[in-house]
Amino acid sequence: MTEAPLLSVENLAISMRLPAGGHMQILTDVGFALNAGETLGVVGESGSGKSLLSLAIMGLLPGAATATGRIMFEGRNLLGLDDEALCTVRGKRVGMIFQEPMTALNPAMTVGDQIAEGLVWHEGLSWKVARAQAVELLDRVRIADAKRRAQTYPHEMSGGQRQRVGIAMALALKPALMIADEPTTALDVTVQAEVLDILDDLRREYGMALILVSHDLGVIARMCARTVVMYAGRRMEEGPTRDVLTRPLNPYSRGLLRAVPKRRTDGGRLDTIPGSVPGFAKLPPGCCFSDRCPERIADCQEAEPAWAIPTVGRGVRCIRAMQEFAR
Amino acid sequence: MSSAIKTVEQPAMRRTSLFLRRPNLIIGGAIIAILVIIAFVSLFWTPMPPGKMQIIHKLKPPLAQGLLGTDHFGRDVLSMLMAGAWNSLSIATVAVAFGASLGTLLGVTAAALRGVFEAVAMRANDVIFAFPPILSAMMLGALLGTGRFTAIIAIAVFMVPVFSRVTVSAASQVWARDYVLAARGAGKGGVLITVEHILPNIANQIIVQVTIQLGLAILTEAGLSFLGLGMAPPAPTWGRMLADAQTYLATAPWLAILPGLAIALTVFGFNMLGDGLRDLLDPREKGRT
Amino acid sequence: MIVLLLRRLSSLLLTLLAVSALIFIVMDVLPGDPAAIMLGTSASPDTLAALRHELGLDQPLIIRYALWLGGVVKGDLGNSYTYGVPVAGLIAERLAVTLPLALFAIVLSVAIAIPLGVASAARRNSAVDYAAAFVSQLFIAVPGFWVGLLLVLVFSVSLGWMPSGGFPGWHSGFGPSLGALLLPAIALALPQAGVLTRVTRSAVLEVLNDDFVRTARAKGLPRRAALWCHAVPNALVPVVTILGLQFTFLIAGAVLVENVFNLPGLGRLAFQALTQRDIIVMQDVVLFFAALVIIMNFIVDLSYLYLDPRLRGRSR
Repeated sequence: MTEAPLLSVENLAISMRLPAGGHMQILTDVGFALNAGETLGVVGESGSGKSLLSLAIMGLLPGAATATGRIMFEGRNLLGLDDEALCTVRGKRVGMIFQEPMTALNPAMTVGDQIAEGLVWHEGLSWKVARAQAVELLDRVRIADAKRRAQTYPHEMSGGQRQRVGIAMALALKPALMIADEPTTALDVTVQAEVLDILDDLRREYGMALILVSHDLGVIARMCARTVVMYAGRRMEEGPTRDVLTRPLNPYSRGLLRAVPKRRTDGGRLDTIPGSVPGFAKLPPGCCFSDRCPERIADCQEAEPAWAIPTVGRGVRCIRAMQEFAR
Repeated sequence: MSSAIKTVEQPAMRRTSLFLRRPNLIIGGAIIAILVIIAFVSLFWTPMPPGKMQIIHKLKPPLAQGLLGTDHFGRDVLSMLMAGAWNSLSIATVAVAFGASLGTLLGVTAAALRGVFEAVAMRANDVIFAFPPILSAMMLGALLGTGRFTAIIAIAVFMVPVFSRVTVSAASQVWARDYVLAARGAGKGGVLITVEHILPNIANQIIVQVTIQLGLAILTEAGLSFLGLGMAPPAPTWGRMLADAQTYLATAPWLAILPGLAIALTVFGFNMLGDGLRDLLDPREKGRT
Repeated sequence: MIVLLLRRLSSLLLTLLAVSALIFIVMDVLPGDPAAIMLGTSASPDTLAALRHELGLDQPLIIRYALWLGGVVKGDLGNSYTYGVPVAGLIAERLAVTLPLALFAIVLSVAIAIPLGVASAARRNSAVDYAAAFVSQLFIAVPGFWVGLLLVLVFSVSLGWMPSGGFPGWHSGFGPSLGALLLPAIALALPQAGVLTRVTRSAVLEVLNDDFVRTARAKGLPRRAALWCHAVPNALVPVVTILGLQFTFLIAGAVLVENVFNLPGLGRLAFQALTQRDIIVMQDVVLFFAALVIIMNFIVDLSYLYLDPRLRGRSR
């Protein structure tokens, strides 16, 4: 099967121009491929640069950011396109759901109009027709009384409802790829499950590919077939979600999994990864995780490990992991 | 494979000149400083006595007679402008000082006492705000007669609600802060809290507002003088110079241009200074012109 | 929402009442005897006293205030001491000049400020931004009446394109009347435009940081559309607020500009009444101006409800 992947990120690096002058490297050597209909989870803590990744694919990086590398989507390098060309991609071929439902919607526009707007822009529909479709979409995301609700304003809805509106907006044009940046982080736990359900159902129904960015391993486990783990702007490990979560290769991934609170009968302390995420200006020499890694050896601080493929479908950036594999 | 880890470039430790960093502050400060100096100098010296009429030299253009020409009475325009600077600046400063002090006092009291006092104070503000400053100055002028004193009172009256509004808003925000709540919980009295916590925290906003209102005061004073409600003749004021210039627009246009330029320059200076101070003292506002 | 409006309305009326009381008291303290003004100083004391009695000037303050207020409500504003005609008529006549002038100025200032402010915000820290900032500061700093003088100097005295003042009257036709208002409206509009440009810029800059603008872009809207369809409508609240607050200054400017251009408007009327010690006219005109300002602020409050749906009705 030599079909080209839907999305192929190659050697993506992003640096930010600092206000005082100079540059700060945020993302380094990021790459992955996604086929049509596949799901990929991007796991990382705050400060791992994962949000910049989603913005880069959408072409919505802040002005101070420069991206190098390639983002091949449906045969075109998104990084090489100008804004006008990107406007034909955004919304129509790639949809995005943002983290904060409370602020992601225009307070002065009805919910229905905000969903309809994309249809009017991209498909040239009349507002009347677009609004009717918007009502259908609201129904799809399980908003009760959709026809009436379409004429309400965002502030009249709860966070969970607003996030569902966000999903409807992103789906309106049935894009091939959906990027969800921490879609449930700002929601109550009880609401999270339902939102994820809706997202999953619709994804299956429309046959969309999904990139789900989250720090919550449970969410990733639920939604994504593959996972890439990020730390300090670098990918540390990649593979089928089940494998990464049950047999993690990278000590960082192992640390993350250990840190997930579990029922303990011995009443001991929660596991943590000692230390804290370093700022991008203060990364340790060699491997970016080496200052906090329990399995560090001297070589780890010699040079940054390269991305290696131990077996098909797996990737890891770690000297120790490759040593283990060699055995 | 050795990787290319980009080291972070250290931001260049250039000595960015102060001018490039804060042009507003420098330009505004310079303009005002020069004007204040001119104003003070005018008390002791001007090229000609501002009131001296030399009819024989009337309506001469700039450089023909005196650096900036003469008016319809043969008075030296430059000298009149300098004396006018003192008049305008002194009136504006005193008026704003009065208005700011009273307004701030009212404001912090309203923010501290809340309740009926605040409601009444805000209502009083609304009432005064409903009167365009010129109108209230006209009424007061009719009452008290024209002159320096009236102009000051008229302007100050309008300044009070301006400052009390700004102060109440700023002070209320400080009152809501945690450490103030803690101080109240510890039993500290309102006066003490106001002096120790509120005033220092709103001082910057007040300073910025003072600078801006000084510009507005100059404009108001000019308008009053233009209508003849300011200082009585023969005291030279920029506003009245403009009023007199109306008759001679065709024959002596410099009489209409120069005093207006003086007013505009002064207000421009105060506004620039205010902007610069705001950038300096109120970091929240950074990034806004 | 009705409750909210009613509350604002009653607040408005209360302020108006307080304003009227203030005006009345100040006017009362004014030196000058209206009867003497009307009859001349050579009139005999008896005639003066009789006239004073007829005008009701010998009654206590409260009674006179109540009578005046009652008259205002009924639309009877008394008769001018100087002209002898009903003040209400005078005001109506002059309003036909001042109101169009003020509206013209508002339209001009908004037409300048919004595009300039939005462009500045969209191209932050560019040459356009700095130029606009400089121009705004310039506009704010110049006295309106001076701009008026300069305009007369350039367009009337030097070029002869425009009349230097006066007002032909609406019956002479729309064109000439508007033409007479053009220069004065520009003089009034420029300082307002300066202030509004800065407010627009800062308001739009703030809104551009909001998430929903990014959401609009993520839907595929180009920058322009995201700016004008999403950012600007949400930035209007502070702009409209300042517009309302500036109305006071607009009136003050109108008084001055009407003097420069010799326009028979309310501002000139107030000024003439002052010099002639026509207390009744002064009282009524000042009250009218104050009422205009208060009503303008009320309209601004109303507009908030349209601009920001979050403020409509507290029910959820």
